[in-house]
Amino acid sequence: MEQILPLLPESFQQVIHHMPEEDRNNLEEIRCRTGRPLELIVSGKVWKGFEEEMPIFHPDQARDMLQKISRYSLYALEEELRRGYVTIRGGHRIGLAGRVITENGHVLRLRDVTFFNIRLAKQKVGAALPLVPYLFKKGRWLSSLIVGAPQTGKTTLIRDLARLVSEGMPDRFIQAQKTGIVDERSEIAGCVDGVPQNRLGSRTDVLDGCPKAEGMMMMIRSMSPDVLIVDEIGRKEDTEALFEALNAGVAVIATAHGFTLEQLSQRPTLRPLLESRLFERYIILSRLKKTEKSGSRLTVCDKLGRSMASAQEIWQ
Amino acid sequence: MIHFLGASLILFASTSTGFLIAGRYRSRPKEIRQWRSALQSMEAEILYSRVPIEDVSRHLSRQLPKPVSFFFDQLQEKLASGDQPLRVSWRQTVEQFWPVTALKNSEKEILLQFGETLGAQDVDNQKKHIQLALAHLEREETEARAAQTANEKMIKSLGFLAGVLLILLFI
Repeated sequence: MEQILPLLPESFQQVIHHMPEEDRNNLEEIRCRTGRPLELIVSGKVWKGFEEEMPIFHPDQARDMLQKISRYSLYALEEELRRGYVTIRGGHRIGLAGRVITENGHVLRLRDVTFFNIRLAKQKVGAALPLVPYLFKKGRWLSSLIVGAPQTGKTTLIRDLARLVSEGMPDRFIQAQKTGIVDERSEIAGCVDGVPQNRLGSRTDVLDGCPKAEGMMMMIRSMSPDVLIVDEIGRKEDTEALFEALNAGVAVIATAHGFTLEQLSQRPTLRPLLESRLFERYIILSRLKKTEKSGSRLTVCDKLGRSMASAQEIWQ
Repeated sequence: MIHFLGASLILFASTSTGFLIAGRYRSRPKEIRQWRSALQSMEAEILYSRVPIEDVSRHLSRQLPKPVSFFFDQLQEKLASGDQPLRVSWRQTVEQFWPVTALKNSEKEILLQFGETLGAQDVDNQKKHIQLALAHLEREETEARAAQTANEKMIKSLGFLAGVLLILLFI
């Protein structure tokens, strides 16, 4: 939180200061849209606990905010303005939107950044613990695919798995193994200047901001990981690289967008991967709708997609 | 005896005044040169390694010789501590720094102008602005050098001669 507050305009800081302790701890997103009131997302819902009207986000505040995010060196953000998000100290990510400049149909960069979405990184240490009995067999980790809709906690889960793999669990006689993370969107490790901001154990190597397909091969060749961790596979090149990696004897833990396994197998780019049965475990995440708190239901499936176990998990 | 002592005091005072004024003519082109090398290092750091201004300032404060290094030291401190924008910090630092330099108002204008755009542009535009400031400084430097060759020696001898004149008048 202390990394984020100085970036916000004075009036927004006041609002957050006035939030009840519990709501502040459950804060997930801070959304700033030019000309619109501040929006705070707490536990997946818009927060309405403020008695007065929310302050409006002015255009010059938007400009100031971008300057502050770049530490007054906008040129240093060129790559980030092309990708549309920035990772700041603490592993928090700020999504950016506004007017885009293109060249030959490709995005050159964002020019007038008018929408900000600050996503607070919350590493949930221990989130993946219930999965360990299913994913660790005979001294090695099984290749697994985590499937879930956006905001169901895929990244939280895979981050904690990465930590478990590289820290090991001495009390369960699981040794620490070499972990390689290909972190295309800087979300798993949350690197700033190449240094992970999240707790990932001491045996982790990270390729930050690297395209997955190339990154996976780079990682295997250069760092010889026991377990390879990648986020959000889905493109054709990713599938090809995954085939290579899985056949090279490296355990791969990956995530993919989707609601169910059946839906995933409809996607032409992923179908060959599922049909070849290279993944030994599937973990399906679905959001708990009824409860007030944000959380997910985990279902573990085996190689053939048959359900083995399920558990509920509350994230906060 | 007392006459001789007084005369030498007058001569010493006027000669050192002459040297002091001449010294400003001598330091000005030297300092402009230092500023130009500062901006060139800045350009390289921005262009090739995309280093934020705060870190550039820290590097420059270590690399450069005395008066200019003081400026970047101050700037870096301001950026590290306060939450005021770079534009404001730059302007304040220029004002603070000004008494210790031999530079003139035209250089001050160039630096203030440069500070307005620093950090608020993408790499290409930033490069253009640095080039522009460099070109301005270069012009100032040639002008300062001309002023130096024209005036430095003259002012020095003028100081000495003025002293001599005063002494002669008193006698």
